[in-house]
Amino acid sequence: MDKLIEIANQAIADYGFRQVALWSPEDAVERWDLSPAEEAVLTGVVHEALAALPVPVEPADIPAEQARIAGLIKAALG
Amino acid sequence: MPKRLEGKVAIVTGAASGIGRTTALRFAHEGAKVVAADRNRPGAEQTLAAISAAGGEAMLAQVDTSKADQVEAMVETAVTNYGQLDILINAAAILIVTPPIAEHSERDWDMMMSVNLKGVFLCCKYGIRAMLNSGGGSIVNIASGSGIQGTGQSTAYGVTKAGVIHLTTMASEQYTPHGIRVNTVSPGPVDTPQFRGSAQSNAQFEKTRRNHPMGRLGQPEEITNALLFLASDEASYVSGENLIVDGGQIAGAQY
Repeated sequence: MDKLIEIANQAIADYGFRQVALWSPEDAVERWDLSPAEEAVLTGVVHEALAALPVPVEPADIPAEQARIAGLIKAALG
Repeated sequence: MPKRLEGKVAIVTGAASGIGRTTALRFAHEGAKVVAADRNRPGAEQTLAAISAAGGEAMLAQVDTSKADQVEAMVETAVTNYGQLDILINAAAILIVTPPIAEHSERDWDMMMSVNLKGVFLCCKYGIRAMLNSGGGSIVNIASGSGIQGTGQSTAYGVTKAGVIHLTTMASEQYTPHGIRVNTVSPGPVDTPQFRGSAQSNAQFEKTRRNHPMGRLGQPEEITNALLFLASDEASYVSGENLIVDGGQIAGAQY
């Protein structure tokens, strides 16, 4: 779960990395060695949340977005 | 007046947004049959829909350009469906904002190398094979001003773009004698989602705009104009060139 939150945090703060997380999730799975359950969350709820973010996320808004999406991840992975 | 790319078949990578999208749209408008390639399928579908709505001919290829099998399949798609490949525009890239080298993560380095440099290499490799079968063609790789001079951030991005410029030089040297022209366009700051994202705040984006010699950022269509020229037969005696399209930014920085 921590690895997935790390991916989400970088994707929120950095638009370029967000493109990797959104459109090449297999790369993230391989590079972070995610489990099948984590992969499902990345391509499901996390994808949906990242795709809805503004470009860029303003620096002041990053901590709140990171907390919100971390909450989604924790809920999804139990 | 004939269209500038009438009868040509073009692959445009990174066609889901920004410069890739405007280029796919313009090339179709100029008569090319376009393969709009991107790993972002929804974005590429929007590009395709816009081309169709304007009366152009195009198809979609969902591709991660860092994967050889996918790139080979993309080129095969163009040749199988349209009979040949005449033009390849390598616009796909990612820009991850990174700290200075001592703090730069290996993962970020590898990801940018993989898409921005290996991806262009793979597209050239398979695109050139198809063009040799078609009797020639034109490749335009998109680099960046950051591949020419340091920008203080995103080391890997700048290094990959410098690599693209040199890859272009070598490809031109090797394949111009075979009828394939290979050139680079190096844009300066352009108002694309990628550039807005890399600014990391609207305030920084505005600061970049204000500090530009023209007091504005480039529009993607202004880069597409250069790509169109180099891709078309109008540039029949141009190969191995790196055309900087940055509104005078690099020139201004030298004084």
